[in-house]
Amino acid sequence: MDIDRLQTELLRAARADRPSDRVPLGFERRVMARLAERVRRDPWSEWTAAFWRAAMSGGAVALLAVAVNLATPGAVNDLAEDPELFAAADGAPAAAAEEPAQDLW
Amino acid sequence: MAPSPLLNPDPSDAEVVAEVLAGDTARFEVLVCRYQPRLFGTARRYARREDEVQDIVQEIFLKAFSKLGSWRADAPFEHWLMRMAVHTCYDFLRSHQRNREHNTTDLSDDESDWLERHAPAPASGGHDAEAARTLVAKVLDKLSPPARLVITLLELEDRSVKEIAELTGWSVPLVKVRAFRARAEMKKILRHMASEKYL
Repeated sequence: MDIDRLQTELLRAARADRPSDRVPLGFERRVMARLAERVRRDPWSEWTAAFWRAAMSGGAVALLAVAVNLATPGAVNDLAEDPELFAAADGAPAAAAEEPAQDLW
Repeated sequence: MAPSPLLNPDPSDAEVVAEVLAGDTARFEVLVCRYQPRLFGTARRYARREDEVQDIVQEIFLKAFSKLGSWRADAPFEHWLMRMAVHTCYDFLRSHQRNREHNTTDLSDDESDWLERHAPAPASGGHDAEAARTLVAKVLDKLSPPARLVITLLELEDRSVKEIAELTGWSVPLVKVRAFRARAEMKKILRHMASEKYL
Protein backbone atom coordinates (compact mmCIF):
# COMPACT_ATOMS: atom_id res chain seq x y z
CA MET A 1 0.00 0.00 0.00
CA ASP A 2 1.48 3.34 -1.08
CA ILE A 3 0.47 5.72 1.72
CA ASP A 4 2.50 8.61 0.26
CA ARG A 5 0.56 8.50 -2.99
CA LEU A 6 -2.71 7.95 -1.18
CA GLN A 7 -2.07 11.09 0.86
CA THR A 8 -1.11 13.07 -2.23
CA GLU A 9 -4.27 11.97 -4.06
CA LEU A 10 -6.46 12.77 -1.08
CA LEU A 11 -4.99 16.24 -0.66
CA ARG A 12 -5.21 16.96 -4.38
CA ALA A 13 -8.88 16.02 -4.42
CA ALA A 14 -9.59 18.10 -1.33
CA ARG A 15 -7.69 21.09 -2.74
CA ALA A 16 -9.79 20.99 -5.90
CA ASP A 17 -12.97 21.19 -3.86
CA ARG A 18 -12.86 24.60 -2.16
CA PRO A 19 -15.29 25.28 0.69
CA SER A 20 -18.17 27.61 -0.09
CA ASP A 21 -17.88 31.29 0.80
CA ARG A 22 -21.66 31.68 0.93
CA VAL A 23 -22.83 34.07 3.64
CA PRO A 24 -26.11 33.45 5.49
CA LEU A 25 -28.74 36.09 4.82
CA GLY A 26 -28.53 39.05 7.21
CA PHE A 27 -25.33 37.85 8.87
CA GLU A 28 -23.88 41.38 8.89
CA ARG A 29 -26.93 42.56 10.86
CA ARG A 30 -26.29 39.85 13.44
CA VAL A 31 -22.67 40.99 13.84
CA MET A 32 -23.65 44.66 14.09
CA ALA A 33 -26.34 43.87 16.66
CA ARG A 34 -23.80 42.00 18.76
CA LEU A 35 -21.37 44.90 18.46
CA ALA A 36 -24.02 47.43 19.49
CA GLU A 37 -24.89 45.24 22.46
CA ARG A 38 -21.24 45.10 23.49
CA VAL A 39 -20.76 48.88 23.14
CA ARG A 40 -23.97 49.57 25.11
CA ARG A 41 -23.04 47.10 27.83
CA ASP A 42 -19.73 48.75 28.65
CA PRO A 43 -19.56 52.40 27.52
CA TRP A 44 -16.75 53.15 30.00
CA SER A 45 -14.48 50.35 28.84
CA GLU A 46 -12.24 52.68 26.81
CA TRP A 47 -11.90 55.12 29.72
CA THR A 48 -11.14 52.29 32.11
CA ALA A 49 -8.53 50.91 29.74
CA ALA A 50 -6.97 54.36 29.33
CA PHE A 51 -6.83 54.88 33.10
CA TRP A 52 -5.25 51.48 33.60
CA ARG A 53 -2.66 52.25 30.93
CA ALA A 54 -1.91 55.60 32.62
CA ALA A 55 -1.63 53.92 36.01
CA MET A 56 0.73 51.28 34.63
CA SER A 57 2.90 53.94 32.96
CA GLY A 58 3.02 55.98 36.18
CA GLY A 59 3.97 52.91 38.17
CA ALA A 60 6.69 52.03 35.68
CA VAL A 61 8.16 55.57 35.87
CA ALA A 62 8.09 55.44 39.69
CA LEU A 63 9.85 52.08 39.71
CA LEU A 64 12.43 53.37 37.26
CA ALA A 65 13.08 56.41 39.45
CA VAL A 66 13.51 54.22 42.54
CA ALA A 67 15.83 51.90 40.60
CA VAL A 68 17.98 54.82 39.39
CA ASN A 69 18.09 56.23 42.92
CA LEU A 70 19.18 52.90 44.41
CA ALA A 71 21.74 52.32 41.67
CA THR A 72 23.47 55.66 42.40
CA PRO A 73 23.43 56.02 46.22
CA GLY A 74 26.88 57.71 46.34
CA ALA A 75 25.71 60.98 44.85
CA VAL A 76 23.29 61.64 47.70
CA ASN A 77 25.33 60.14 50.53
CA ASP A 78 28.57 61.88 49.58
CA LEU A 79 26.96 65.26 50.07
CA ALA A 80 25.51 64.30 53.42
CA GLU A 81 28.68 62.60 54.72
CA ASP A 82 31.21 65.21 53.63
CA PRO A 83 30.85 68.13 56.09
CA GLU A 84 32.85 70.60 54.01
CA LEU A 85 31.02 69.88 50.86
CA PHE A 86 27.72 69.97 52.72
CA ALA A 87 28.64 73.30 54.34
CA ALA A 88 29.78 74.74 51.01
CA ALA A 89 26.61 73.64 49.31
CA ASP A 90 24.53 74.90 52.22
CA GLY A 91 26.31 78.23 52.56
CA ALA A 92 26.65 79.13 48.93
CA PRO A 93 23.10 80.33 48.35
CA ALA A 94 23.16 82.38 51.55
CA ALA A 95 26.40 84.07 50.54
CA ALA A 96 25.07 84.67 47.09
CA ALA A 97 21.97 86.23 48.56
CA GLU A 98 24.03 88.62 50.68
CA GLU A 99 26.16 89.91 47.84
CA PRO A 100 23.55 92.04 46.09
CA ALA A 101 22.63 93.62 49.42
CA GLN A 102 26.24 94.76 49.98
CA ASP A 103 26.36 96.22 46.51
CA LEU A 104 23.31 98.28 47.26
CA TRP A 105 24.93 99.97 50.27
CA MET B 1 -24.55 54.21 17.03
CA ALA B 2 -25.62 57.18 14.95
CA PRO B 3 -26.43 56.74 11.27
CA SER B 4 -23.67 58.10 9.13
CA PRO B 5 -23.92 59.92 5.84
CA LEU B 6 -22.73 57.85 2.89
CA LEU B 7 -20.35 60.35 1.35
CA ASN B 8 -18.14 57.90 -0.46
CA PRO B 9 -19.88 54.91 -2.09
CA ASP B 10 -16.71 52.82 -2.13
CA PRO B 11 -14.44 53.99 0.70
CA SER B 12 -11.05 52.40 1.29
CA ASP B 13 -10.45 50.21 4.32
CA ALA B 14 -8.33 52.94 5.90
CA GLU B 15 -11.12 55.51 5.49
CA VAL B 16 -13.70 53.20 7.05
CA VAL B 17 -11.40 52.31 9.94
CA ALA B 18 -10.76 56.01 10.60
CA GLU B 19 -14.52 56.68 10.68
CA VAL B 20 -15.13 53.80 13.09
CA LEU B 21 -12.32 54.93 15.37
CA ALA B 22 -13.74 58.44 15.30
CA GLY B 23 -16.92 57.06 16.86
CA ASP B 24 -19.10 56.08 13.90
CA THR B 25 -19.29 52.39 14.83
CA ALA B 26 -22.10 51.75 12.33
CA ARG B 27 -19.55 52.12 9.52
CA PHE B 28 -17.96 48.87 10.65
CA GLU B 29 -20.73 47.17 8.68
CA VAL B 30 -18.91 48.17 5.48
CA LEU B 31 -15.94 46.04 6.55
CA VAL B 32 -18.21 43.18 7.63
CA CYS B 33 -19.95 43.13 4.23
CA ARG B 34 -16.65 43.40 2.39
CA TYR B 35 -14.83 40.56 4.13
CA GLN B 36 -17.49 38.13 5.34
CA PRO B 37 -17.39 35.85 2.24
CA ARG B 38 -13.63 35.44 2.60
CA LEU B 39 -13.94 34.69 6.32
CA PHE B 40 -16.74 32.17 5.78
CA GLY B 41 -14.56 30.35 3.23
CA THR B 42 -11.73 30.24 5.75
CA ALA B 43 -13.85 29.22 8.74
CA ARG B 44 -15.46 26.36 6.79
CA ARG B 45 -12.05 24.74 6.50
CA TYR B 46 -11.87 24.35 10.28
CA ALA B 47 -15.45 23.78 11.40
CA ARG B 48 -18.03 21.52 9.83
CA ARG B 49 -21.22 22.58 11.58
CA GLU B 50 -22.73 25.75 10.15
CA ASP B 51 -23.50 27.22 13.59
CA GLU B 52 -19.84 26.79 14.55
CA VAL B 53 -18.75 28.48 11.32
CA GLN B 54 -21.01 31.45 12.03
CA ASP B 55 -19.75 31.71 15.61
CA ILE B 56 -16.14 31.73 14.39
CA VAL B 57 -16.78 34.47 11.81
CA GLN B 58 -18.69 36.55 14.34
CA GLU B 59 -15.87 36.16 16.86
CA ILE B 60 -13.33 37.31 14.25
CA PHE B 61 -15.33 40.48 13.55
CA LEU B 62 -15.84 41.22 17.25
CA LYS B 63 -12.11 40.83 17.89
CA ALA B 64 -11.32 42.99 14.87
CA PHE B 65 -13.64 45.71 16.15
CA SER B 66 -12.15 45.73 19.64
CA LYS B 67 -8.57 45.76 18.30
CA LEU B 68 -9.17 48.10 15.39
CA GLY B 69 -6.92 50.74 16.94
CA SER B 70 -3.94 48.38 16.67
CA TRP B 71 -4.16 48.17 12.86
CA ARG B 72 -1.36 50.10 11.18
CA ALA B 73 -2.24 51.26 7.69
CA ASP B 74 1.21 50.31 6.37
CA ALA B 75 -0.06 46.73 5.87
CA PRO B 76 -3.32 45.84 4.07
CA PHE B 77 -6.33 45.56 6.34
CA GLU B 78 -7.12 42.16 4.82
CA HIS B 79 -3.78 40.70 5.96
CA TRP B 80 -4.38 41.97 9.49
CA LEU B 81 -7.89 40.51 9.46
CA MET B 82 -6.70 37.16 8.08
CA ARG B 83 -4.10 36.89 10.85
CA MET B 84 -6.91 37.39 13.33
CA ALA B 85 -9.00 34.80 11.47
CA VAL B 86 -6.23 32.19 11.59
CA HIS B 87 -5.70 32.79 15.31
CA THR B 88 -9.44 32.52 16.01
CA CYS B 89 -9.70 29.28 13.99
CA TYR B 90 -6.69 27.89 15.84
CA ASP B 91 -8.31 28.75 19.18
CA PHE B 92 -11.46 27.01 17.98
CA LEU B 93 -9.49 23.87 17.06
CA ARG B 94 -7.81 23.80 20.45
CA SER B 95 -11.03 24.28 22.38
CA HIS B 96 -12.89 21.63 20.35
CA GLN B 97 -10.12 19.05 20.24
CA ARG B 98 -11.93 16.55 22.46
CA ASN B 99 -15.15 16.70 20.48
CA ARG B 100 -13.50 15.84 17.20
CA GLU B 101 -12.79 12.17 17.89
CA HIS B 102 -14.10 9.84 15.20
CA ASN B 103 -13.79 6.17 14.49
CA THR B 104 -12.98 4.87 11.06
CA THR B 105 -16.31 3.07 11.28
CA ASP B 106 -17.84 6.57 10.87
CA LEU B 107 -16.84 6.49 7.22
CA SER B 108 -19.70 6.83 4.78
CA ASP B 109 -20.15 4.45 1.84
CA ASP B 110 -18.64 7.00 -0.56
CA GLU B 111 -15.60 7.49 1.65
CA SER B 112 -15.12 3.75 2.04
CA ASP B 113 -15.36 3.40 -1.74
CA TRP B 114 -12.75 6.11 -2.16
CA LEU B 115 -10.36 4.29 0.15
CA GLU B 116 -11.08 0.98 -1.55
CA ARG B 117 -10.28 2.41 -4.94
CA HIS B 118 -7.21 4.40 -3.96
CA ALA B 119 -5.57 2.55 -1.09
CA PRO B 120 -4.41 -0.56 -2.99
CA ALA B 121 -3.14 1.35 -6.05
CA PRO B 122 -3.64 5.10 -5.98
CA ALA B 123 -4.42 6.48 -9.42
CA SER B 124 -4.68 10.10 -10.41
CA GLY B 125 -7.94 11.52 -11.65
CA GLY B 126 -11.39 10.06 -11.90
CA HIS B 127 -12.18 10.17 -8.21
CA ASP B 128 -15.09 11.57 -6.30
CA ALA B 129 -13.92 14.97 -5.01
CA GLU B 130 -16.70 15.29 -2.46
CA ALA B 131 -15.95 11.89 -0.91
CA ALA B 132 -12.27 12.78 -0.84
CA ARG B 133 -13.00 16.12 0.79
CA THR B 134 -15.12 14.63 3.56
CA LEU B 135 -12.56 11.87 4.03
CA VAL B 136 -9.84 14.51 4.35
CA ALA B 137 -12.05 16.37 6.85
CA LYS B 138 -12.25 13.22 8.97
CA VAL B 139 -8.50 12.69 8.73
CA LEU B 140 -7.90 16.34 9.65
CA ASP B 141 -10.27 15.99 12.60
CA LYS B 142 -7.90 13.42 14.04
CA LEU B 143 -4.85 15.65 13.74
CA SER B 144 -3.57 17.82 16.57
CA PRO B 145 -4.54 21.52 16.23
CA PRO B 146 -1.10 22.73 15.05
CA ALA B 147 -0.86 19.86 12.56
CA ARG B 148 -4.32 20.56 11.22
CA LEU B 149 -3.66 24.28 10.88
CA VAL B 150 -0.39 23.79 9.03
CA ILE B 151 -1.79 21.11 6.68
CA THR B 152 -4.77 23.32 5.86
CA LEU B 153 -2.68 26.39 5.15
CA LEU B 154 0.15 24.60 3.37
CA GLU B 155 -1.58 21.82 1.46
CA LEU B 156 -5.18 22.94 1.01
CA GLU B 157 -4.76 26.72 0.70
CA ASP B 158 -1.40 26.37 -1.05
CA ARG B 159 0.32 29.03 1.05
CA SER B 160 4.09 29.39 1.34
CA VAL B 161 5.98 28.70 4.56
CA LYS B 162 6.73 32.42 4.87
CA GLU B 163 3.06 33.34 4.52
CA ILE B 164 2.13 30.76 7.17
CA ALA B 165 4.77 32.17 9.49
CA GLU B 166 3.27 35.65 9.06
CA LEU B 167 -0.29 34.43 9.57
CA THR B 168 0.37 32.29 12.62
CA GLY B 169 3.15 34.26 14.28
CA TRP B 170 5.33 31.11 14.28
CA SER B 171 8.92 31.28 13.08
CA VAL B 172 9.79 29.86 9.63
CA PRO B 173 11.76 26.91 11.11
CA LEU B 174 8.85 26.14 13.45
CA VAL B 175 6.42 26.08 10.52
CA LYS B 176 8.74 23.66 8.68
CA VAL B 177 9.05 21.39 11.70
CA ARG B 178 5.29 21.42 12.27
CA ALA B 179 4.62 20.73 8.58
CA PHE B 180 6.96 17.74 8.66
CA ARG B 181 5.31 16.39 11.81
CA ALA B 182 1.83 17.07 10.43
CA ARG B 183 2.50 15.06 7.25
CA ALA B 184 3.86 12.18 9.33
CA GLU B 185 0.83 12.36 11.63
CA MET B 186 -1.51 12.35 8.65
CA LYS B 187 0.22 9.35 7.08
CA LYS B 188 -0.07 7.45 10.32
CA ILE B 189 -3.81 8.12 10.45
CA LEU B 190 -4.26 7.14 6.81
CA ARG B 191 -2.27 3.96 7.30
CA HIS B 192 -4.41 3.11 10.30
CA MET B 193 -7.64 3.81 8.40
CA ALA B 194 -6.58 1.81 5.36
CA SER B 195 -5.34 -1.15 7.40
CA GLU B 196 -8.52 -1.20 9.49
CA LYS B 197 -10.51 -1.20 6.29
CA TYR B 198 -8.72 -4.27 4.94
CA LEU B 199 -8.32 -6.28 8.14
